Amino acid sequence: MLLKIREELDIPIYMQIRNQIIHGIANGQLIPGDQLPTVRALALEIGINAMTVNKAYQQLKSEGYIRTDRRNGARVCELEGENNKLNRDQLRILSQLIAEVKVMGISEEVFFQTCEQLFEGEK
Amino acid sequence: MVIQIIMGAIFYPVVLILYFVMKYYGKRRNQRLFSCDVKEEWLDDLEVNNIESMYKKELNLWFIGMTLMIVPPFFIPYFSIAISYWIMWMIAVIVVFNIPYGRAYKKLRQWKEKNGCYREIDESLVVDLTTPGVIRTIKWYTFLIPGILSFLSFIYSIYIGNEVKWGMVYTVVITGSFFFCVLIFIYFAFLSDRKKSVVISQDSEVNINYNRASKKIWKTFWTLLIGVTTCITVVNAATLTFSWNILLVVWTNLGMIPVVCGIMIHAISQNNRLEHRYQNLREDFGQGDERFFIWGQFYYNPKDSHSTIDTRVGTGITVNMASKTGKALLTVLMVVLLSMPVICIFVIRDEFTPIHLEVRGENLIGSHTSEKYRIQIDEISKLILLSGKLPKMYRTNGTGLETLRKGNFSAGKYGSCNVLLNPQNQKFLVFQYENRWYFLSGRTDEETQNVFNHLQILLEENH
Repeated sequence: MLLKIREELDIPIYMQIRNQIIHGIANGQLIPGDQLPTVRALALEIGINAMTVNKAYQQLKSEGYIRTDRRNGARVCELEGENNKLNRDQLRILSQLIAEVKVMGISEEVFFQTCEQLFEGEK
Repeated sequence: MVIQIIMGAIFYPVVLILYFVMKYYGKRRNQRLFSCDVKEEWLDDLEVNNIESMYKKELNLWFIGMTLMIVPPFFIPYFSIAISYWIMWMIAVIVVFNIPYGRAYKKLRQWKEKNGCYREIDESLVVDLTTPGVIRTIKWYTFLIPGILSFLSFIYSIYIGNEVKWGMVYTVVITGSFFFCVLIFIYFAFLSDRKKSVVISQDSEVNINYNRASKKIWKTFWTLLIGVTTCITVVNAATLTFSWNILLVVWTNLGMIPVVCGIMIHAISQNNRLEHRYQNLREDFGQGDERFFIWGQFYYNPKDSHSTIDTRVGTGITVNMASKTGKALLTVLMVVLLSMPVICIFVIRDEFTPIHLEVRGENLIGSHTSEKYRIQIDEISKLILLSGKLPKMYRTNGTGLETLRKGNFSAGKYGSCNVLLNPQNQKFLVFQYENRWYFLSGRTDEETQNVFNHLQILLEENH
């Protein structure tokens, strides 16, 4: 799986790493049990501070996408939807997005169609 | 004349090697020309073709020019001036052979800008998540033995060098240089092994295999290079102990040049084979923007925290001159380049400073650039004034020029002896002091004769 880091974006680098790893898991490029590089190795490869990578890994861990231990490093977790429902944070982000889409005048049909396409793409 | 021919044979290959290297750099490879990314369809453009032919023409002109410039030193009778000329010529060759490349790179970039070939600057960095920390071919102990051997050789040379006249200079300049080279090579071996993995495909398997193969090639290259340099360091240190014929050492050191060339050619051909194998799998990830290159060869990108990147020209790695490693490397290079004229000045001073011989108090003083011998006169025995031809001498270490012999020499029945004389003179002082033979002469035969007369009187008075 390839990570593409763009320093000129407003999104912090740790967030770019986190987002792309989640995308990788979603579209099957990373499967449960896959080993992720160590914090130090990934930081050296990208040319950033190890704390930045550590922050991304900590966030992924707290969100349940990866598990880390000293012996095996970081691995992708087996993910199970909690009661097949979105969590509070996801609902907040989605409602914000829907509000923006409504303001822009995009129809419900177009919105759902786009959602469906993106959802298919992540499979 | 023989010495000039030897120097020509040593230095001229530099121009030949550089000419063919620059010719090779100027060829289209991996959709690149003069360090710039080019598309197949652009290569048919008349202006691009003109840039290519201009490059070849300029390179050929410089080649002819620099070849013609090897003639003057054959008519220079002084070794120091001739060697200074050769050193300056070599630096000039390195600089001028890069001018056509830099010009071609600049023109191609201008053409691309004019034709809107540049996309918006893509500063994104692509990393394959499966490669970081996985591909390591060099372990911390890989170069432990050569490192220790060369270090011990250097330490040993310093220890033994104190006991040999001029040994310290020899140690610092020769053994120290090779030991320093071993350290630098080990550093670069690790640097090339730890460099960021190259992403050539979306397929991680392809990336892993490509990087592993590439790093193995460079591991072999550095291992051989470090091995050869260590051998040379050991040989140079051993010279001080065993007083080997200096010619043997010179040829051993010179023999390193073809061996290193052979190692480089082997690595380049292996790398080319690897590139050829993967050329159909290569995808463009827009990495290492060409606009961060100076003269198309020096990468300078302060925003990139990597010390090295995959090279755009030739094979191997390119150091980011904006990184700490790049700055350190540049400093070392500048020191080496600036030290060249200084070395030349010292060599010229050595050749043109006359020897001075005098009796001062109870001592015989032989000096040249600085005081070389202080000999207690009452300890001198078997003093003679040698007139005419000197016995055959072979330099063990020191200086052996047409107008100056200085250092340790081996002279037939006299064995190992200390020498400070001008071989053009006709009169020489020969005597024994502390169980060693000495051959000395003054600036002129008259000076030598006067010192001899003075010494004789003093020795008779003592007896």
